[in-house]
Amino acid sequence: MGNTLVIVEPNQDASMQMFTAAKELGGDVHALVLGTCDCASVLPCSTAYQVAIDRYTPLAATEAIAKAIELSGATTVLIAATQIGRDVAPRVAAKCGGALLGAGNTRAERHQCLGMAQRDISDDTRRGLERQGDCGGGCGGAPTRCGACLPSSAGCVLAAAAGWLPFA
Amino acid sequence: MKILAITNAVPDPRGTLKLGDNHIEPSGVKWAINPYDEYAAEQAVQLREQRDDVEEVVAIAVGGDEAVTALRHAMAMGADRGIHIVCDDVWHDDMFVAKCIADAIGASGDSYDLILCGKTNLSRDSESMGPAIAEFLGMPHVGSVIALEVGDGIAKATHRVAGSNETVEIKLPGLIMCDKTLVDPRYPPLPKVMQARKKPLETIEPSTEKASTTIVDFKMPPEKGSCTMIEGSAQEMATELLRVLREEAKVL
Repeated sequence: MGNTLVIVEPNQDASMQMFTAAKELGGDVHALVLGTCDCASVLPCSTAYQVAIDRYTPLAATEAIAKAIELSGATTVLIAATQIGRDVAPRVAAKCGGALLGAGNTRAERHQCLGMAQRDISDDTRRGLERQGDCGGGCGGAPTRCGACLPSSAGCVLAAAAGWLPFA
Repeated sequence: MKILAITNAVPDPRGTLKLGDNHIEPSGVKWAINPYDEYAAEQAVQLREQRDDVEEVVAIAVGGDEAVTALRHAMAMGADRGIHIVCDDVWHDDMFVAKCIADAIGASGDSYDLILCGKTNLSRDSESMGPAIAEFLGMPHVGSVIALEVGDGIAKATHRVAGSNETVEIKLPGLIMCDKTLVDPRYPPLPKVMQARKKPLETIEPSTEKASTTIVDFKMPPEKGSCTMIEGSAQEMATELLRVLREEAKVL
């Protein structure tokens, strides 16, 4: 399995929940923080990138993610199914020529996230995704608990970069 | 100004679906225009009615015969002509649809100033098609738009973001994903429906044959469990509830 890139949005707990899934996938875990959050230093990843995007800017976010894919060598990208995630993930997949496993609206996010996880992620990881208020071991116990680690029911979008290995 | 409205078909939300081997049986499904795409068609027609510079409103859809149903509906609402990208697989993914539509626009030579589509495709419950088309065509987009003003070379769109609404401006050409409350779709009267049958409908082949994802497993949601109603006074109900939780559910 190749490297995985997790896209972190400040104050979005779903971003942190995906580190558990990223770890389960194998390979190196990298992160890209979209915003001015100072949590990059406590993220459970080998390399963290950061770009200061404060407002709704799908084009800038797409460019930043594409650059991070290039720098990290990631073959899988995990993006939370937030408004910005839903807008950016298809653009990244289109830009990089990858496949996209997507979540729908809020009502379906969690179901689809778990549906995705059931394809090849272990029961432990699935339970980790189901837990509320748990960042999946990301920064639990860290002196500075990241604002992203708040309770959530949000799911995640899996966008694949070029050369992505399919789950099935 | 030329406007393109993407009007794909989805199973009629009022109908019932039958599960096949890892897919929904297409036979027997009643199709209708995707309700969110109906907002897109209505917004396109309203812009033409309000402005003098709108040359044409074109509807486009990907799919089999069900796509024609949606296109004819859009034309009955007021679209001038339709483009049907023929594809027999009715359960294709959003990236496939986006690629087909973007390539069709590129190959046609038509230059659309504004592309409108629904914010969600209800058959897949996904919101990926619009942003992907915008990326393929190199244009900006705004998702979940609930208010729209179109000026000269610019569009001001109010869209839903987490817990609030935000207004942004984009340069045209651009793509707008229409949410409910943007407009109130008209119900085409019978004469308009009859006229729509005579409007031009161009049929083209898809630019790509293979979707980027494959469905490997498909299940209907689990049925809800049985429900036991506890009756009596508050004390009797509390006592019975405790007994059920301890002895039957064994969760206490």
